[in-house]
Amino acid sequence: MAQLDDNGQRSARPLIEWVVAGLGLLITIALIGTIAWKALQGPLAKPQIALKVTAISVSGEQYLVEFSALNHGDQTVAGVTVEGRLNAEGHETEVKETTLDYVAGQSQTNGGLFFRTDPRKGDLQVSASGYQLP
Amino acid sequence: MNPAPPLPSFTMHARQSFGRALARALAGAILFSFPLLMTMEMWWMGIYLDRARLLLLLVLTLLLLLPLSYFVGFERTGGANEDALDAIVAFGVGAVAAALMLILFGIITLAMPLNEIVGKIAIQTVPASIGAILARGQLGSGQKDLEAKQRRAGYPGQLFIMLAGAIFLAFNVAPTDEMLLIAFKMTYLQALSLMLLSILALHAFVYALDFRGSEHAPAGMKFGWLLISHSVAGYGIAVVVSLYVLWTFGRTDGASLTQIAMMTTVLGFPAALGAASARIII
Repeated sequence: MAQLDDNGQRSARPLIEWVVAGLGLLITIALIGTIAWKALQGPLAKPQIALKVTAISVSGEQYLVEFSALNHGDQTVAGVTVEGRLNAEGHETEVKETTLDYVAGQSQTNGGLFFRTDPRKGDLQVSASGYQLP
Repeated sequence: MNPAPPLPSFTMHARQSFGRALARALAGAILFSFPLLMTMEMWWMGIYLDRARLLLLLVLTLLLLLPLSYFVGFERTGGANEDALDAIVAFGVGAVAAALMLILFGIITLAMPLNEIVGKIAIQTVPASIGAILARGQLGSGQKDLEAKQRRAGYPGQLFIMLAGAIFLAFNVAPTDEMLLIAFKMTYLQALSLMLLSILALHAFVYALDFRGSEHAPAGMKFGWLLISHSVAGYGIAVVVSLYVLWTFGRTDGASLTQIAMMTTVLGFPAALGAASARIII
């Protein structure tokens, strides 16, 4: 297609318009595609939070347990309470808790818990105890 | 007599008008950035934002200010050098305005670590310096000159103005928790509808409505081509801007592709509105 320019002459559309228009279209289709593809997958999978201890280190006079919470479900959850139970010397020595604001669907959030006794010398269980819907 | 030829800026008249322009820039910086200066997520971002990403944001802001200065600069610009100088001055004015307001609000105090103070000011400098540059378009004169410049700039110029508008509006809402929350609450169907609305709004704003500075569809341009070459291209810009801002604010860390797409769609709406209305605001 040609169009009239200011001098009344026929001029081809500049290459830059084709390139930018094409890129814009590509980006828009990619965004629509990502969400539409997910929308066609059927009902949302319920939240399923997998907790993994990623590191244990000394933090001042305490021990820091860093963890990741990966939500395998599609549904985003809020206010996820994470509990760390430490069993050492044959009995439960410490229970620590923290709350994660959000763990989005299929996404990961990181957090940490502080313990007074060294969690490496005992049996540490980190689990999610509950959530709210955002 | 001074051996060097006297520059225009050294004359009494020019100095007075530079002072006025500086005051106008300061007013613009405060006017355009006060919503973010009063947003607590912005203060937190100043503390925890990844320093490399913050630095990149500041560099890109300066690069954005250069062409913006050409279009709307707060001094009557004479050439590329003056545009560059204006951009740097606007950046400085933005930083000063942000620092003053944050001190006034009690958000930064001398008891805080330097890193925190600098971070809080740095992030606010982005909207404040854009405000300082926009001050001329909003508070000053020289509208005709501006429109002529925009016309001369052609298609790349229009794209740039859309980019600036998208950045400014997206940045204004991106730090809030509500951006995340809306993305979490929306269904996929609602997200797809919001995308459609964003593109239609872009199209309607710029080409159908007869706002000041709105672009009349050039004769002979087919509706479909106009939609693709301007509105969809504009939405592409809005999407890229949204993605970049989300990444800068650490929203994409650990998030799945679907979640990123949902957040981008949410932020893409104000970004699209910014791209659409930029010609009116600027």
